[in-house]
Amino acid sequence: MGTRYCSNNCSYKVRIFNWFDHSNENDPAFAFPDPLHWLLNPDVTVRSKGVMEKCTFCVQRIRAKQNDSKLSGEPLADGDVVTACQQTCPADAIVFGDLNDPDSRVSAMAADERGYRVLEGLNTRPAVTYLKKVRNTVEE
Amino acid sequence: MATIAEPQHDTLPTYNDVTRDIANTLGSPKKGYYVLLGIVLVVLLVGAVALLYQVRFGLGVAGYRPPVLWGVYITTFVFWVGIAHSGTLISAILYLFRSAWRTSVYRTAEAMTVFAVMTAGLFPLIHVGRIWYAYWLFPYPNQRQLWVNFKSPLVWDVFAVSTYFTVSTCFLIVGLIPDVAAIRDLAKGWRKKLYTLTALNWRGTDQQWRHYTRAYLYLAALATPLVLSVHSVVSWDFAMSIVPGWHATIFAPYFVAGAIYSGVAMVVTLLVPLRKVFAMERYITVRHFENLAKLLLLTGLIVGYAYGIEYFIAWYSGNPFEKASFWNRAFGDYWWATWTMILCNGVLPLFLFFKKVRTSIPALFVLSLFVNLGMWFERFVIIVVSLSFEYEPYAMGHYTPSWVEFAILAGSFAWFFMWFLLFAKNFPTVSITEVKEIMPLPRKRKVHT
Repeated sequence: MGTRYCSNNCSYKVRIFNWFDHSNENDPAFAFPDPLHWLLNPDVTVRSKGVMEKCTFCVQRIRAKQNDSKLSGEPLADGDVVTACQQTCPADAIVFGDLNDPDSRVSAMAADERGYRVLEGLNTRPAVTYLKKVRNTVEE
Repeated sequence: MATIAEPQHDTLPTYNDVTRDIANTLGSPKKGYYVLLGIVLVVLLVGAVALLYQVRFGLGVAGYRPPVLWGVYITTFVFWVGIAHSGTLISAILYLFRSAWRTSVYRTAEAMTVFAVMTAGLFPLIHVGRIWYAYWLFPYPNQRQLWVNFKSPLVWDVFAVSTYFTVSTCFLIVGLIPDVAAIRDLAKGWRKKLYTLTALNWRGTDQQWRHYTRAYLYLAALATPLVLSVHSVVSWDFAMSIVPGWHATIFAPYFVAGAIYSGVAMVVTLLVPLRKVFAMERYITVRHFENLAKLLLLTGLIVGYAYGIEYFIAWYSGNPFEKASFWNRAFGDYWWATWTMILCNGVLPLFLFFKKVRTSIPALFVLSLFVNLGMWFERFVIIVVSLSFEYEPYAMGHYTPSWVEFAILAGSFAWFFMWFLLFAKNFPTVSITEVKEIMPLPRKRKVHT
C-alpha cells in the first residue's frame, strides 16, 4: 500500500515511487496523452499513485516463456527469456539467464574474474554482475 | 505499630474537599475554554484539508525527494508514540512500585497516553501511498491472495501500537470508574447520563472494590511490559534495516529511554497550565514536579549517553559508511537539526542537577518545551538525515518538508489537544480515589498520640 520501507532498505536506491497519478486521465498529473500512450507496454499495467516500482527483470516475458514451456512440455533452455533491455542493447552488453544453472551463459560470465557486484560487502547478494573494463596499462 | 502522626488539618484537604475540588474542575466551561477549543478545531480543520489534498493528488504534494522516502510523517509518528510512553510508566510501573506520589498526576499522564497513541496511529495511515488500502496491513483471511510479511517490522508495529492502545485505554477507563461514580452523584443533566453510563453501575460496595483493585493491579501488570516493548518494536523499524545510522543494536533501549523522556516532558507541559487553571496547587505540588524532573533527568542522561555511544560506535566500528553518516549528521546539510537535538536533549537536562531548577515550575515548563522540540528533532535526525546520506553518492538527496506536511503536523497537535481539552472538562484529571488513598483517614475526634 506504499509504505516505501523497501526503498529505505534498498542500498542501491533503484526503486521508484509513483508520487502522482500519472496513469489516470482525469488527473492533472496524467502523463500519457495521445500519442504518448503508444510508449506504454501493453503487457504491463500502468500503476496508480502510491505504488512502488522496480525493474522486474521483465517478469511478463519470463512468465510468458514459462507458460509456453509448460504447454509444449519442453523445458526452458538458456537464452529463451530475453529481457527488453537485452533485446534493445546494440552492443549485446546485457546477458540474462539462470544463475542457478552452472552451464548458462550468464553463470559463466558472472564467474569471470572481471565480474563484480555493487555493494557486495553488505551481503545483499545482488543478482546483477558487472564486468570490469579491461585497460591496457602497459606503456607502448 | 507505628505512631500515627497528627494530621495537619489546616493544610491537608479532607475527603470532602477532594471530591468537591476535583468535581469543581468539571462542568460549565468559561469563555477561554471555548476560545481555546475553537483555535484547536480550526488548526485541525487546516490539517484535515491538507490531508484530503494529499489523498486526492498523491503523496507527491509532500516534500519527499528520493532517497528520503520517510519524512515528517514518520518523525511525528515516532514522536507521538514516544509521548505515549510515560503515561503508562507513571500509572502502571510506579503503581506496582507503590510510589504514592503518582496519585495526583497519573490520570493526566494516562489520558495523555491514550490521546498520544490515537494521534500516533493516524500517521502510518497518512504516510502510506494508498491510504484506502491501509487495511491490507492486517492479516486476516482474504481473497486477495495477499498476506502480510511477518518478517517486516512494520507488521510488528501494527500489533505493538494496537495492543498498546487497547491496554492503555482499558487501564484509563477502569481507573476512572470510582471517580466517575463520585462525580455522577453530583452531576445534573446530560452529564449525569454520561457518568451513569461510564461508571458501569459502580456503587462502592466491598465486593466491587475488591474486584476493582484486583483488576487495576492486573491491568498494571499487563501494561508494564508494554512500556518497554512497544517502543522497542518501533525502534526495530529502523534497527532491523540496513541504513547506516539506523542499523544499531542500541536502538531499542535508546528509543525506550527517549520515549519516556519525551513523555515526561509532555506531562510537565500539560500539568503546569492545568494545575494553574484548575487551581490544583493543593494536589499537584512542587514535590510532584520535582519527582517528574528527576525522571526527566534520569532518562535525559540515558539519552545523552546513547548519543555519545552512537558516535563512538561510528568511529570504533571502522565501518566507513557508518562513519560518513555520522560525520554528515554533525557537519552536513542538516547540522542545525542535529545540534538542536543535542542541545535540547543532551545539554539542557543537565540543569536538572540543580534543585533550584527542579523546584522552579516556570523553569521546568520552559525546559519541557525544549525537550519536546529536541525529541521531535531527534527523530527527524535519525530518519531524514540517515536516509539522505546512505551508501551511493549518486543516491543522496536533500529533503525539505512542504506546507502539506507542516499543516498535518500542526493538525496532529490540534487533534491531541482537542481530545485533551474535552477530557479535562468532562472527566476528573486528578484521581479522586487515589488521592484519598494516600490521605490520613478522616476522624471525628483528634487522634491522641
